[in-house]
Amino acid sequence: MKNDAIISVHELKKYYPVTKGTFFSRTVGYVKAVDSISFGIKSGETLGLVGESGCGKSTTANVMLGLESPTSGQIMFDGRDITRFSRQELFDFRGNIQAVFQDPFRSLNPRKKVKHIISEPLFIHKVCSRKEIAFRIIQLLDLVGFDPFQAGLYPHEFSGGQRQRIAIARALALNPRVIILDEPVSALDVSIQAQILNLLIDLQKRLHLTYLIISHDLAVVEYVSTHIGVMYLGHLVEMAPSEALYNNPIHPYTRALLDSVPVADPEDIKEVTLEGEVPSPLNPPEGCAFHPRCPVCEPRCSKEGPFMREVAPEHAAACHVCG
Amino acid sequence: MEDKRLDTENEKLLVLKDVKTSFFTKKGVVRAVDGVSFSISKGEVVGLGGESGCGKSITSLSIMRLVPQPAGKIVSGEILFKNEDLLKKSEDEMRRIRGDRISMILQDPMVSMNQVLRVGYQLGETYRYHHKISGSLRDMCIGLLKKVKVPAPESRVNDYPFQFSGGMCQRALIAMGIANGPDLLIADEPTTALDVTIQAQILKLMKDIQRESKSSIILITHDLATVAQICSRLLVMYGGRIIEKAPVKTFYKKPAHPYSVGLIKSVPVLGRPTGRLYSIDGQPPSLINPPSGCRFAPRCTQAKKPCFEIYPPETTLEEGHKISCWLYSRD
Ligand SMILES: Nc1ncnc2c1ncn2[C@@H]1O[C@H](COP(=O)(O)OP(=O)(O)OP(=O)(O)O)[C@@H](O)[C@H]1O
Ligand SMILES: Nc1ncnc2c1ncn2[C@@H]1O[C@H](COP(=O)(O)OP(=O)(O)O)[C@@H](O)[C@H]1O
Ligand code: SF4
Ligand code: SF4
Ligand SMILES: [Mg+2]
Ligand SMILES: [Mg+2]
Repeated sequence: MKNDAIISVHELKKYYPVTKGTFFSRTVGYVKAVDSISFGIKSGETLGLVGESGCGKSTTANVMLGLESPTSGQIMFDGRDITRFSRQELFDFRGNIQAVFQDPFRSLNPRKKVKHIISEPLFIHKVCSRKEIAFRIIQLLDLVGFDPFQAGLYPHEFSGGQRQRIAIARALALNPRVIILDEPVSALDVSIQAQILNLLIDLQKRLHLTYLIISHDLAVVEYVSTHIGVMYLGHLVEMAPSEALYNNPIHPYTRALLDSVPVADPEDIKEVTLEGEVPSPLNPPEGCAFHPRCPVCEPRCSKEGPFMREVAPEHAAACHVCG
Repeated sequence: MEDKRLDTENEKLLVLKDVKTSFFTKKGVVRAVDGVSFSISKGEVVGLGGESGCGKSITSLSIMRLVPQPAGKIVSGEILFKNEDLLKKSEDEMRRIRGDRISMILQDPMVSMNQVLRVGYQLGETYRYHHKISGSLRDMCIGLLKKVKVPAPESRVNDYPFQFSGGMCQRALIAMGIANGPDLLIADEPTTALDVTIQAQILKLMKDIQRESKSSIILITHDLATVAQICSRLLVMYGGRIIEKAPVKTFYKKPAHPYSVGLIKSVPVLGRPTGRLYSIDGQPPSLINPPSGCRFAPRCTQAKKPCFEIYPPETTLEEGHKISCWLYSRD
């Protein structure tokens, strides 16, 4: 599965040093934000990453985007390891992977007109002439459902959902092949969320895009993803095609997560499936990171951490006991 | 579900009658709450739902008489709490009611607590403000933390809020909210900032506490699934008004207002792939100088001429199910 992936990560790690002291600070430990995860996404498919706050979803995204450098591991794009790129190579490569973030209010420069915001990448990368840029702006606006006249407006003249469309248009400017979406609809209203999700799906089909989508909302992820990866405390604990993950979850954490999602049905009242909270990543439990909360924990779970292994085609989970 | 026996004016704990609250800003008058009426019975758990900016929080701040000053003002209406109009009370009288008879839990637990004071101290203050202390205040605080299931309450009582996780902070805030055994607890998006597994724990806690204390609860949320999990009745707001009131079982089976119907259809449901999601076109309304007609008309696929001109009156479809929409009006 990793071989024909357009983008994949291999034993990717990102550790943040924890320091003490203000003047002569010394490193007293590491937050293992991402701890040796591997996955691949095939061209035209969507991988959804889910997991509780702080489990390392955004860190994974930021490393893949080159916004942070990995502690170790590889990021392969079209057969090349981008962590080994020189600055120039990285600059030339940038257009291939673009991002859309959660907050459409903060991610757009308030002093720039829409046309300048979405054409900025074209100027920076000098990919087309001025005339072509004017044409491209209209094309991009059309892709996200805007009229040409709206090019002259400022971000504050748009609502949250419309601003997210602007951010998507900007991400599309350089014809990327992969788009990383970190909580793209979390700040939006329910009725607007559906508009944006539909837009993302339409664009994917039309432009043959590959997505990595991060969301704390499992239903949103399931709706748009072909595959889903579940993270817990910096580890990938299960990965499967969306349907298999929903119908046949293997990892005890995945099961608890699916069971916790409240449903809009007063006849289907949820029981509390997981006691306790996510432990601090500064001081993660020994062995399987999930063991203090795990309902089927065995003695060896607190000693050795499980590795991901295949339980069915394209379906892998990291658990000593299940699967 | 509304109990008939309680259904007399007397047994109503809270009654809002045509409450209007506006903000007077440079851009114009923001009609945040524009003629809201509803009532809450004793011991009832009611959801107040709707999308952001529709006026949910300002409705609750109006009940607390804590509308942001100086721009905000409760313009008209009545808010009867135990048959007394809160809008006629002095600030002093209100201070005695707040935190004692009516208390509030806010969305962001980290922001709602004072970061430089110990959790135990903050809990104690809430209590001390309204009561003479008998026994040890510390023991009382520990008891409260125990009630909301904060682990190791004896040592946690000495912690500062930043030493608590989001879920624990929310538990502590609930402890503060229930410290004085209020008649009414208003929880404004109490689980929105939390992870799903923690959300489930907090909702369960709120249910347990409600069962034990018999307080009435108004649960404010934009998340319809949360409402379905703990409320017996739902009020849906749109553009500063309540557009539908219904028992939850009725609401999720047969929502009536075109906006409610669209809203339910546009939420992706886990395990139920829908093909393409239904989506309501257009944008939420601006509350600055809103039009006189139905606020939803510009986005409604069934809008007719009168919808744009006159606001639809409230129509009762069946016991406890009321809706403001011209499609259902018998006038
Ligand atoms: N710059 C940083 N320095 C130190 N620690 C960091 C830094 N960025 C992230 N972390 C830590 O790394 C862990 C993973 O963070 P990350 O932002 O990836 O989580 P996430 O899964 O995106 O969570 P959320 O759902 O809250 O967005 C967390 O414990 C976080 O506190
Ligand atoms: N301090 C304020 N000044 C001006 N307008 C405000 C203020 N607070 C809220 N509003 C406006 O009042 C309306 C209702 O807000 P609110 O009750 O907070 O909505 P929500 O339903 O999301 O809780 C919104 O249009 C909002 O912009
Ligand atoms: S390895 Fe052990 S503790 Fe970890 S999830 Fe599996 S059973 Fe639970
Ligand atoms: S009153 Fe008219 S516009 Fe408003 S919801 Fe009903 S049909 Fe639609
Ligand atoms: Mg994140
Ligand atoms: Mg609010």
